Amino acid sequence: MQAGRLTTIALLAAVGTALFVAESYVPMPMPFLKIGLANASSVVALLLLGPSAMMTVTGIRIVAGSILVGSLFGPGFILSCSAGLVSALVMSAVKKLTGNLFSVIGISLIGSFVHVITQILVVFLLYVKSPSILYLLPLLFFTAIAGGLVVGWVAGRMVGLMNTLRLH
Amino acid sequence: MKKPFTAADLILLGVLVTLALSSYFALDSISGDGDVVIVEVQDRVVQKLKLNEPGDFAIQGIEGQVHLKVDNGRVAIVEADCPNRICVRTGWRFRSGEVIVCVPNKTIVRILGALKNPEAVTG
Repeated sequence: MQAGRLTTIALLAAVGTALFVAESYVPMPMPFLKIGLANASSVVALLLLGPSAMMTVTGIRIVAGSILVGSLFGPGFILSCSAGLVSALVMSAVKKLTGNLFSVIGISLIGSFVHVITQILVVFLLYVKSPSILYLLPLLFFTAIAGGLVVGWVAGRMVGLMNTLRLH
Repeated sequence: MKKPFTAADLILLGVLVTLALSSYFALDSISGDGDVVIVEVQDRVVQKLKLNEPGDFAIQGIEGQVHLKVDNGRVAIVEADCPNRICVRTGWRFRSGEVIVCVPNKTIVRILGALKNPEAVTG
């Protein structure tokens, strides 16, 4: 039981790290725009194993991914870390409080929105103390919606797949 | 995962799309159109233009000429001596706070106006 849980966490952390690295190679019109596919592994961890597993997976994938990409402790890392952890916390809380009200897609939509909002707050507080970063909000919001939908769908498929695999 | 969407999901999605759209329109209404264009080459202001006065302007950049056009309350770099021509592809800009940058020519075109702090919209 405990070993199975540990294995699943390790697997999800590995998948998340791989996705994090892969995504850093995808060209985007602006470097901070991301679909955030790596977040799918965190969402899966939340659904299969609960909040603490999710925090573990999120922490590992961000730190390991940043080491591989070479952005550890840089601004991008600080943003990923703060936003990733806050959005994981909020997703856990929402899941705990609302039970099955939202599907995976709803949970991941909330997660990606919280991610974007945390990010812009951190950028505002630490780096660009100018209201002009608000110009980015619409773009970030729409990316968050697209990202949340994609991540939720992928996470749902992953949960389904992992459930069937376990049955065998 | 039989049902991909729950009712709550759809309501949430609706709320988020509304939020995103309203953020767009809200910004559109507060940011306002710019009034003045400031052209800097190597951090020196070389030209000040008004967005409501159309015209063609040639700026001497580091690598060569940068051609600016002001028309219809908007400004664009229409032609420039630079390899990637990112500045030309930036296209027409008109909001206060927006900038057009030609890195090889060290030329920055800033639009100033209604917004209090127009600096640092983009790097």
